[in-house]
Amino acid sequence: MNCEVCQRELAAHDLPDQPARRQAAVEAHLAQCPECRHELAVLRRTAALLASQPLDEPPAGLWQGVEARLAQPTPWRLPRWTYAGAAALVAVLAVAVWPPAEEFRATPYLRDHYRVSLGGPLGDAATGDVLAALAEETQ
Amino acid sequence: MGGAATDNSTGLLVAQARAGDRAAQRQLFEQWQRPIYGYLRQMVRDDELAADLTQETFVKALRNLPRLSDPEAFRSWLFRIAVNLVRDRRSTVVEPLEAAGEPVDPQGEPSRQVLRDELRAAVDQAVAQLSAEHREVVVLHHLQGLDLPAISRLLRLPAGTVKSRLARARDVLRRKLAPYVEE
Ligand SMILES: [Zn+2]
Repeated sequence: MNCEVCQRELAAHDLPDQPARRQAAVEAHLAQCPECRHELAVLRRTAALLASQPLDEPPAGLWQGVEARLAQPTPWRLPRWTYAGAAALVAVLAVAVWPPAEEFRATPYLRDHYRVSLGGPLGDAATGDVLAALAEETQ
Repeated sequence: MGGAATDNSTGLLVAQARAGDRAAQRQLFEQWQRPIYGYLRQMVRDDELAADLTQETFVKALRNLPRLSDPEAFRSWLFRIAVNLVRDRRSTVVEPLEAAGEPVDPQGEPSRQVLRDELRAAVDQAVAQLSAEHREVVVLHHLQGLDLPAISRLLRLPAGTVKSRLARARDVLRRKLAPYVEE
């Protein structure tokens, strides 16, 4: 094994379940190559650096928003295909009506509309369900 | 790492929350909002959007709790919802992030705090510049501490794919962060 091949393998070296033969070949090269040993040490320090990063703190008060939405009655549910069908119809109409149709995508539009309208008095929870149904179907 | 561990108390809380106990629901939220927000923040790079998606994740999770058959699987359930919300957004998000702002200069003799902030910013920026696929596995593994089998189940990807993405991502990061990790 040469340095180029070895260094390509190094990023996976510490991951579990690596093929034993490859690990052995890497180990054998490392034993006689200070340069690649240095590479491995740097990779390990990179991993340690990432692991040491604190997570971003969420802003205070998020629960109040969750609770408010949970307190709303669960939207009236039709069978899932009805939502998907309605969404498809919206998409077809939108494409037909909106002239520059190139950039237009029904799902982002609905989602953004949903997000914008959520805070308002006419909060559009039904759109959320359409999206949920779509998301589940496209999983 | 990555917040509270799934244990018996989580199972119990989930059972109570499922029965509609608001206090239990809130406790679950308090327990898991940090890892979920942390994940979302790293993925969407926008505080407000991350907060919004965090709320959406919990509303979905708590509303659909009766569909979670194993209460112990609450963490993966939450993460799966968050992962799907992010994936659902990808069609509108331009990524990876362009190299933004000034590259951080590790030379000079700043105070420890300044150094820590710089380091944090550098890591943040390096992670932000990864492709979404790479970022996803890096954030879940290195920042959230999920192991590979858990990530593979969560993302519904073969273990080999997760492994090679992680290896490639780590290699990219190592290059970007070289000034900080070289001796
Ligand atoms: Zn070598």
